[in-house]
Amino acid sequence: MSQPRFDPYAILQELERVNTGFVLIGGLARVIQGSDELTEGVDIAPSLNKESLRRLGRALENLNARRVDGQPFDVIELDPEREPVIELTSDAGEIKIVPDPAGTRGYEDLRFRANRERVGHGVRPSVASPGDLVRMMEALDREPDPLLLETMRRVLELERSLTIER
Amino acid sequence: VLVPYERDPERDAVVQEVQKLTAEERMARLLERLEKR
Repeated sequence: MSQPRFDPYAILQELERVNTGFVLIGGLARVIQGSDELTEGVDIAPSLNKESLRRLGRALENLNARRVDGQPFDVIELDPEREPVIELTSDAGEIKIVPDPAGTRGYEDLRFRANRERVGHGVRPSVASPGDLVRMMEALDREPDPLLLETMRRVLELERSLTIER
Repeated sequence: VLVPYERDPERDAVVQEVQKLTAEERMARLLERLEKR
């Protein structure tokens, strides 16, 4: 079976349409913050509020999202300790649900430093800050890609220097 | 806290170029590069 064409706008539009709380993390967040890497998935740290999770479930259903391992999935039953990352495939590409990203305390921790970014097609997702994206990479169990890590540290430095100049 | 790391001037230049783009332009650039791959 061929891979679905990656359409981040379709995924983000659906998440925004149902008004679920989330912060965009991972490769796409890094690209939006200034990394030049290639990525083909949407990773989110979701709000664990029950109503928000119900809305997320609706969005995932509309995107025809299902687990890559073929197991049944009910987003309401998210358990970060049992399963820190849920990998899904959808009609618009890969989606990762990460309730408790490494080095953070999840959505409630990330959202205060996240920025709503205009990424086109009328979509304005909340995107994790460069500082939090570096923190997540540094806290991973595996060794992060050194080039990516260096890039994001540089992005962070630039952001801080711009903040000081303002 | 920033952890010291070895600087790479070429990487610095790339990062500075990308920083000049808006978030929307960065998304568009990603999709263009994926399309060309």
